[in-house]
Amino acid sequence: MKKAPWRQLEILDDMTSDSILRDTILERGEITTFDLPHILPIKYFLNPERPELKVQFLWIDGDNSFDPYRIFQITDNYEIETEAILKGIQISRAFTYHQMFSLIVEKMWSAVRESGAKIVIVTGLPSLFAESKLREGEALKHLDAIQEKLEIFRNENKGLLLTAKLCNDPGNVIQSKLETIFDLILDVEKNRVRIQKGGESFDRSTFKINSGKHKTERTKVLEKFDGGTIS
Amino acid sequence: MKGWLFDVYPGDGDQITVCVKTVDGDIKFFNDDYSPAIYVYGGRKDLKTLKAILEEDENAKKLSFERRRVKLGDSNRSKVLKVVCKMDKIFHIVQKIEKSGDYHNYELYNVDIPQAQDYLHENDLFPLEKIKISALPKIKFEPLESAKSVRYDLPPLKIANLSVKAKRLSGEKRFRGPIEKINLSVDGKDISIEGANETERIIKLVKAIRKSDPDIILTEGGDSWDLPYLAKRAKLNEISNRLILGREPRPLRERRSEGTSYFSYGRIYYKPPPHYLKGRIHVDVQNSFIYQKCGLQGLIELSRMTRTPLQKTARSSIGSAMTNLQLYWVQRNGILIPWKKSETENFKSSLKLLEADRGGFIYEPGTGFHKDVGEIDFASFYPTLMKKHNLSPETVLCDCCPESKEKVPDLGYNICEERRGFIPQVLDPVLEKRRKYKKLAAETRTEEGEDTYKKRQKALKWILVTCFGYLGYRNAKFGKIEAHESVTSFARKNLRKGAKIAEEEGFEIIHGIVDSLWVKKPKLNISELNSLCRKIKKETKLPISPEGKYRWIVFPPSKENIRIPVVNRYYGVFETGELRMRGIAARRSDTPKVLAEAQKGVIGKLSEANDRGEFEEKIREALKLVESYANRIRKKTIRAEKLAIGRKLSRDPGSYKKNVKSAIAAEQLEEAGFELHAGQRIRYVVTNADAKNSHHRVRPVQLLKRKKKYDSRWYVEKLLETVEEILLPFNYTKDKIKSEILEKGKQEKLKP
Repeated sequence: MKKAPWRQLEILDDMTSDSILRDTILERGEITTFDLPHILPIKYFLNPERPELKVQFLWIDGDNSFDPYRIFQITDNYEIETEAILKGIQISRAFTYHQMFSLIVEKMWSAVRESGAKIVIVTGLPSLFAESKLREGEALKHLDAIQEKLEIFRNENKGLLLTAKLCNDPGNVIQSKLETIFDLILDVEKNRVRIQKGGESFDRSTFKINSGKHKTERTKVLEKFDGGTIS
Repeated sequence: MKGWLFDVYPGDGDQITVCVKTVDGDIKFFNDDYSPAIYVYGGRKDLKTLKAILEEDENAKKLSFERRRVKLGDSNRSKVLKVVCKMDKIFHIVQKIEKSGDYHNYELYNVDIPQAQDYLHENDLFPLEKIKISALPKIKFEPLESAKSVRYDLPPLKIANLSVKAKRLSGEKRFRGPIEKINLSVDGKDISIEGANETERIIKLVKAIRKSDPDIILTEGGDSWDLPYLAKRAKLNEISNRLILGREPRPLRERRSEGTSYFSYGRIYYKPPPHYLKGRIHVDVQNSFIYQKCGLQGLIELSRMTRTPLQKTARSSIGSAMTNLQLYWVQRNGILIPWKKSETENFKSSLKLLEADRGGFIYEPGTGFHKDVGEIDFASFYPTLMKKHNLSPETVLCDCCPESKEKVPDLGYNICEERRGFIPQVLDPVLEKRRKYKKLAAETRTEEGEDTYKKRQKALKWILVTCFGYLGYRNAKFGKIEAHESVTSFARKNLRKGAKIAEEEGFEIIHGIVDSLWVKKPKLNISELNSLCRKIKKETKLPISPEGKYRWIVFPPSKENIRIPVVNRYYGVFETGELRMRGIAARRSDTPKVLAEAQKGVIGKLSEANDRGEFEEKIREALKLVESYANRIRKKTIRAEKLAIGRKLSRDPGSYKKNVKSAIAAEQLEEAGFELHAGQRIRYVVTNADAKNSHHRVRPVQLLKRKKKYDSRWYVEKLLETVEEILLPFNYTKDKIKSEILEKGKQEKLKP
């Protein structure tokens, strides 16, 4: 079931109220619950007084997540020109793991430069990886190459949002590799958030991302990181 | 020696076996040296290092640098390392190359080309080609006919039918039951296979096959049942080495590999592992789409056209046939074939994606009854557009002509002006041959000749049907999503143009989908349709012709909401009396035969009507037919075979989350020892739809003991639904039909 967009916007407001996202976010859950990739580009169009926030996005879509009608549906609630949002998202779809690998490792950064994109969204990487049935040696080498490319976002304080289908296997290689490169991990299904930045990690299972009732608690989490660290 | 190239397959060592059926009717085997070559592309230094590494490996027989085109669109040739490998060591070499390149530094080519096909391509041969062959000092082929030929001779082929029945359940995976009966018929003559025990029966079968010496053995499920069952029973009886069904003295072994489940156009399919014979052709009819649709003539035509051995063609999907056709063209033109396709879609704005990622154009149907309607269709629409507009992976958005005058409508993609795309070139001979077969079928004076040409042209039609979808297929070696989008863009433009012309000529558009338009005009006659087609053809430069004029046609609405039309769901009758149905129960593969038959019967009765008044009168007569079906169902005189519901398993049994009927039936089959996979088709009868114990709700056909035990109430309800589906536009709801046929004279109960 899709979550109502305005609820998730609360946490995004905290992270993106005054500036462009410069953090790396991993959204984990079921494909049907991922809404951030659609909400994030809209978010920056909500503030008409800050046109500089209307940035270009680059979306690498490996599971056909991009749904223009979802964007129309969300923007129905606001007075925003949907076409402008759609124009601001540069997208390429990966239908096989090898295409996904090529997009991330070989083409992503040149596309970022050409389009001037400030934030990159990657959807469906883990599922294509799992589908590819690579042999272990090959898989590890590939993951290293992917990890290296994605880590640049964190090192250069650029915005990255990656969605991953929830995997209950703690030994899952791609999951554990990916986790290390994100500032914020949102477990949509479990209503849990982990913030890891500057060597610190904070995990709160009681944190309710999708409920306005727990606003106080959310504030506490953010205070722990000295406000502003996640900005 | 003259003869036909009967089969080609990998032999022992680095050899390919060529099996020839001579003009005298004999079968001759030749072994030819063959070593496959793979190609590696990468940095110059890296390639030199790699060459040095591979020189130490005895499985790499020969290494050399060559200049080849590594991409379809390449004008220049690139330096690549050619590695000639031992036939069975390709993947050993590939792994070594991959590892030394950290799994992404090298691009590998020509790795997964089936060896028999590679050999055929290398020698420019095709299956069942008439050839002159000389074996000394080296095998040499001389073609005696062209691949373009449409009036080719085939050798006389002896055909056998084989089926093996178990004492226990036929089809169960562990093959526990001993053989009860073996049926073998050769060229229509039954051959008795009897014996005191199982060993004797198997030996007698081997002898009967050797004696009758068929060229082709047809089975119904031979890949999943008959052949693996025979192999298992031979093993249990310790006579494995004597189970020789081919012409080479190689026993048939029990295969351990499982089949594969795969998705195609959103549907799941299952393919059992193939059981090939050496020197004979085994066709499992159940596992051969092309044989089912186009018979042996269609299968042979496709095998010749795609240059793929007959046994493989029989089991190929049409998409694979398309790949094979492309592989031949690419290899003959010196282009390398990528192993792991990593070419990606170009980045584009999501607004553009929204515009581009659309299918064919659709005019929603006007629901209800229509008279004076004609149907006009663009012939081979997508392939013709691909040919006409030069749409191919390397021509759409090519690097060489960014300012090309040729642009894709609405999307603005540039199309190459410098070169002709490979897809139009691949399609050329298919379109040409199909045109010739159609002409021959119309001209020929014998029924047999007409049937042959029709089947051949139909086989080629399937290639044309898939050529568009294959451009966008993720695993296609030479696909490109933008080329795929371009085809639909041109199609939408031309269908809109056709509709506009029709409207200008005074027609009303009743329905339109992809390549067809249903147009309406008071007192329409066929010459007006012909005239309209001429005008559209003149404007679009595309072939279009009338499919026919309907006496009447009905577009039923959605059952959920009668105000909503349903695309491509209709039934009607042409003026010739020919019925036309699409999207209704009678056409759906999961409909029980008895219900399909009833629905067709109703439409048949209605087809006697000439206008709406007569149509409505005929409804009453048609309902009498429905009543007779309902009575037969209630009296339980229908055979289980006709009540069976055929469903494909959407997932492996055991992984269903809900107790749906398919899941229950699959569970019962598994319990009885059957092996089932996602994509496999099962058939079951509803025995007690409301039973509390879910196991009692349905029963798979194989496990039915009492053939007449079924839930007649449930089947009558379904019968009413199939009739409602077609009569809803005339206010015949399920309740009304029920009251008319089952509760005669009673008033329809009003719903609150």
